[in-house]
Amino acid sequence: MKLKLENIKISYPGKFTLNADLELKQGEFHTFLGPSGCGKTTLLRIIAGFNTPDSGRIYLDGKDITDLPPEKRSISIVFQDYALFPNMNVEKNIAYGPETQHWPKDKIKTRTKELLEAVELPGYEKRKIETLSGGEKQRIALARAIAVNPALLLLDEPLSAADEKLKASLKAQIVETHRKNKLTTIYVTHDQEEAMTISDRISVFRRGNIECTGTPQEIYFKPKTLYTAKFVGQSNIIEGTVSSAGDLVEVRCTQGQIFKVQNRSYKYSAGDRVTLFFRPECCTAANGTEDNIIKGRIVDRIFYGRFYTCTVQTPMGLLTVYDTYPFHMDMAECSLTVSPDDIILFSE
Amino acid sequence: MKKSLLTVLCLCMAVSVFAGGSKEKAASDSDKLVIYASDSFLSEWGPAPVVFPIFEKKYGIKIESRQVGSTGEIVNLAIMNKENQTADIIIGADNNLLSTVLKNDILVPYKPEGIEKVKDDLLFDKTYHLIPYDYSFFALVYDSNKIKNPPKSLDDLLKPEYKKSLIVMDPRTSSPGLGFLMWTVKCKGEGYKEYWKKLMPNILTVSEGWSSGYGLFTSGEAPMVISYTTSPAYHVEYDKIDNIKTVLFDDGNYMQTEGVGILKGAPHMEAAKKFMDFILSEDFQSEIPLTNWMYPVIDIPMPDSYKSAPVSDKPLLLDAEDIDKNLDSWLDGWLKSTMAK
Amino acid sequence: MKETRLPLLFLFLIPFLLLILFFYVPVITVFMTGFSKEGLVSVLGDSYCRKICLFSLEQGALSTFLSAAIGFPGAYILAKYTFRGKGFLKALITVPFVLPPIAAVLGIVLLIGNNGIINRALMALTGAAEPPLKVLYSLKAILIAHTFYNIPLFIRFVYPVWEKIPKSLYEAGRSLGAGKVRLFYTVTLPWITSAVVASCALIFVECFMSFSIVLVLGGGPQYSTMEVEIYKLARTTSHIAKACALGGLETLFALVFISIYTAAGHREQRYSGSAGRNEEVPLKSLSMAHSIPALLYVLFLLLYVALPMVTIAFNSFTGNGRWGLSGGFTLNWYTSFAQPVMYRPVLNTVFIAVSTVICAVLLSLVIAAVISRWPKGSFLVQIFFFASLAISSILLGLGYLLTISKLGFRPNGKILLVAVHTAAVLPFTIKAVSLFYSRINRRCIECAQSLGARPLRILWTVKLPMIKNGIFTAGIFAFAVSAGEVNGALMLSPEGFTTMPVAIYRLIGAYRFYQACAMGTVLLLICIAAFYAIDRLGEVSL
Repeated sequence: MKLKLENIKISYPGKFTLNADLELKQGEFHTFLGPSGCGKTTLLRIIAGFNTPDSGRIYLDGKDITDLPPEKRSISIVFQDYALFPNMNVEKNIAYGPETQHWPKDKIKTRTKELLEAVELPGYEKRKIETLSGGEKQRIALARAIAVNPALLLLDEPLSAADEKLKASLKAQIVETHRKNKLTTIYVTHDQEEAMTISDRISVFRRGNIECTGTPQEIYFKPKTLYTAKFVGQSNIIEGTVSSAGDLVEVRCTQGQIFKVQNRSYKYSAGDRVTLFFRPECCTAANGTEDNIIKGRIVDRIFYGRFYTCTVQTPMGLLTVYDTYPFHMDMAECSLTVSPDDIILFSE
Repeated sequence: MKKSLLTVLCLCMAVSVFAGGSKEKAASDSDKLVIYASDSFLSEWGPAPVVFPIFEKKYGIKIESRQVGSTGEIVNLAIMNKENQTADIIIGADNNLLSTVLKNDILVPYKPEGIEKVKDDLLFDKTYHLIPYDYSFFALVYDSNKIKNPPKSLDDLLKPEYKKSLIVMDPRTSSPGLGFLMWTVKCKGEGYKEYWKKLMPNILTVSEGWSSGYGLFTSGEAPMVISYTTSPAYHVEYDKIDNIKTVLFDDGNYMQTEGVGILKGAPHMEAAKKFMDFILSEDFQSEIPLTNWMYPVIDIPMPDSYKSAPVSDKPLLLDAEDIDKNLDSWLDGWLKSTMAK
Repeated sequence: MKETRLPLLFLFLIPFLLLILFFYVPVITVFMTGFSKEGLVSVLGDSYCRKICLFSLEQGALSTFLSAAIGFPGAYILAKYTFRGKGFLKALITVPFVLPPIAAVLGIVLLIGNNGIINRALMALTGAAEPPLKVLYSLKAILIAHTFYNIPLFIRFVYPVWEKIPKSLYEAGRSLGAGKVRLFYTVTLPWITSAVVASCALIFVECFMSFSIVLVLGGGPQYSTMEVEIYKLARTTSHIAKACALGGLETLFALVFISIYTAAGHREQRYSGSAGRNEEVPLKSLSMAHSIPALLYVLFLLLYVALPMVTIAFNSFTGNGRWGLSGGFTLNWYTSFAQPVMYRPVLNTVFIAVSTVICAVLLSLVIAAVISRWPKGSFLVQIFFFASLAISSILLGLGYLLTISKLGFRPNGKILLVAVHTAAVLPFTIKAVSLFYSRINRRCIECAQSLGARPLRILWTVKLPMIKNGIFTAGIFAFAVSAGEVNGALMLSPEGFTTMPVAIYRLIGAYRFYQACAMGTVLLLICIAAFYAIDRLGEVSL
């Protein structure tokens, strides 16, 4: 286990209390995802050593680092505002860590050069910080953070200040860096798309608690809580009552609509109030023979290039579905189906 | 570059903290003498750098001087330290301060060797608490290039031809200022207020101290200034000019006599007595004219430049008791007259 | 972080102890000695005292208003434009701080006095027998001297704040349709108000307590401040109670303004959080209609500040044994610097000033750190340090004498002198350093920490470079105040240890007027050189 957070607690009276238990594997790219003010940056700062938890322990490579000051943890951090030292040039910024560790001069020089090439800014050694663009600053900050091969790399919303195009290239840079260096990385963001595309695993935060942890696929298709389900991606949510529970659970919704759902937990019995959840892409046009046929009418279509997002008026309320190319749904009555495998049940 | 600069600064810092402490070694107590003196006496251009080494060499006693500011402040300090006196000698208390000194009982009387050589009318303290070491007269000093017809008396000074031509000092803050006020009190009695009212149109400005007043005079702001009869001697001696002159008034000139005394409870009484003897010796007295710019109290050959510094044969003095009693009301009267406009 | 806390706390205590020892103990001693109800009654019941109280306030207010009004365009020009010689001008406007009042008075008198350069030139031109320009020895002269000191002070305080208004604020304002006037009221004025108020409060206090300038240039006791009266009363022991009462009254007035000063400084720090930097435009690039008034103003400022000093320098080359300004050219007074009596004060001044700079900067760093960690208490901390501005030097001097007499022994004079100078400059240096300290990007420090740097290395490589300009500003002020300080140096310096301002006084006292001018010139040159160097150093590497 690379990093282990054990019962970390810190409370901010009047705001929230942070509770965290988490384990990270060597080389994992882990993302803290959540809305702003949910405690993800606080947890990051606790890991880095800038904030002290009220209780709990932090282990890095099996060693208890809870009481170590930040400078002894070998954990590098990249901030949203880059926080490059304005009084030094690019080279000095990158060399800061190695110099602190008293590397030999020529080794520092090679390392700086190598890193500048890695972040695609060769020849930038003597540039002053104020002459750099935002994207360049970000790359230098990344290079500075990994120069000493830290045991752990922390990235605090590093892309939030960048525009879409820059974001894409920086994201690629981060992924590339991670792939090459195999650095265990924690990435903080409120952007779920960023989280999905970049991470090995994601922890979803909700008011100081880690709501659930899993791979992007698990988080997306098999969310463990309704909050996660709603927070990540688009979702369809229908309420109903369990009418029978076998290998398939049958749920009765308004206007007599029955849904059959794969029974995963065997914890439901007839009469339970439940919430059904499925992703728009699980919903396809029905040919009339499947289970779970929903009748409705498309009331809105938005074109996204490879697909349309359709809003469907049904007896259970509005549902969102995707119509992928080649398109086959018109702005008209339609009949949809969801496989029992793709529906997830949450109890109230 | 940056690092070396900071290193230098740190070194300076270290030096500044430690240098001061290590240097001052306490001389053994018996051969030491502690003196309170005025800033001008101890100044590089004053008598102290000349006469102190002579004393130290002659008697093998080390002098430790403490400068306090003006003579008034010295007396104040001596009074405050009365219960716990650390100094032995006080230099510079003049005739105006005599009653303060006596009233507060801070000195012990001592009749030094050679006191018989001092002219009798200079012994302003017949109880021998304060022994005179130099004197001079307050006087009008003028630039003869600009004033062809200098005033010969206090009344002459009121003439309209001298409109805005005189610089005086504030008697509240300066001793020549106070001396001039006493002079008018001595000559005019209660009429001094009226005199000052009439004098105001001829006064260019009232400076807070002699230095700034004489500085204004030197820079040519006004052709006349209140100073000492000994002032022209400096200009003859060092500037080699003779157009700075003084004039003895028919009314007489107010005298200032500076004295030295042994403080009560002085830790080094023997050394203090030796210093008192030294004060009246030729070694000390002969240095006074060209360092303190005052007359010596014993009869010795004077430098040539002192031909320009006439001694008044009509010295004026107010009674010490009188001064003590009335000083505040005189200052008040002066203030009211000068502010009347 | 935990492990460094204890020594830090210890470090934090040093400046507090220092100030208590060198400021609060003597001052409280004074008040304890003589502060009483009778004293207050005797002061307030005295019509003369009331009159000078009023006059002190009146001339203080006038001087402040004029300094601010005349200095305002200067702050604007320095904040907005670049031009050749700007660095020199910035150094020059710091120099009046070092000029002891006696030298400033002489400089002004030599320039515009009856026998001053201007009057003699006018008389030669017009053939008039009487000096045509008669401004001295009146309220006007007081105001001229006070503005000579305080226009530079105003500019020095306001332009660094003005310069930091972010360009984007103006752009935002303009995009919303605001014209120049509206931008000034909505953007510029709110931003610089604190600095303007703070500097006005400071100027007021300085003028309110002004002493020799008011007396000499005012022409007599009809123009007198409370300070003169305190001086007079404090000279004799029997009046110390009344002196303390009057001093207390004066302190009370001054404290009100010091609080305004501090509060304004406090407000300014809130603004500085979002500080940016405006774009400086070369003055040359402006149209004639704009650049000519600006150039004229710069010229005026240059002359106004420099001429009295230049006149002193001019005099130091004259008076070769002859009387008055008619004396020919001579280098006599400068060759006399070969003698120890002349060159020692120079070395002493530099030594004391450099020591003061080091002490003041180090302590200010510590206090800035305290303020940044304890923002709620920062107002109290500042009042604690700024109170020293409200105490007149005469009162403080009295306090020292009383304290030393109670102690029964005299601490090392040089250390005492550095301590007193440090206490005197701390209000300025704390302000300068903490302003920059509060702007440090915390994340940079955290980055350095996470890269393994220990606190000392962070201080050295990150924090100090980031607040370098604050340190330089503080250093300049400390150097200036220390180099020009007279009272403490007269009172506390050990035997044979003379600083340059003291030497100037003594030289004049010893009739050596022109030599005093030479000493004053050297003092000015040292300071201009020091400030120019510091200013260049500050700009080159940041």
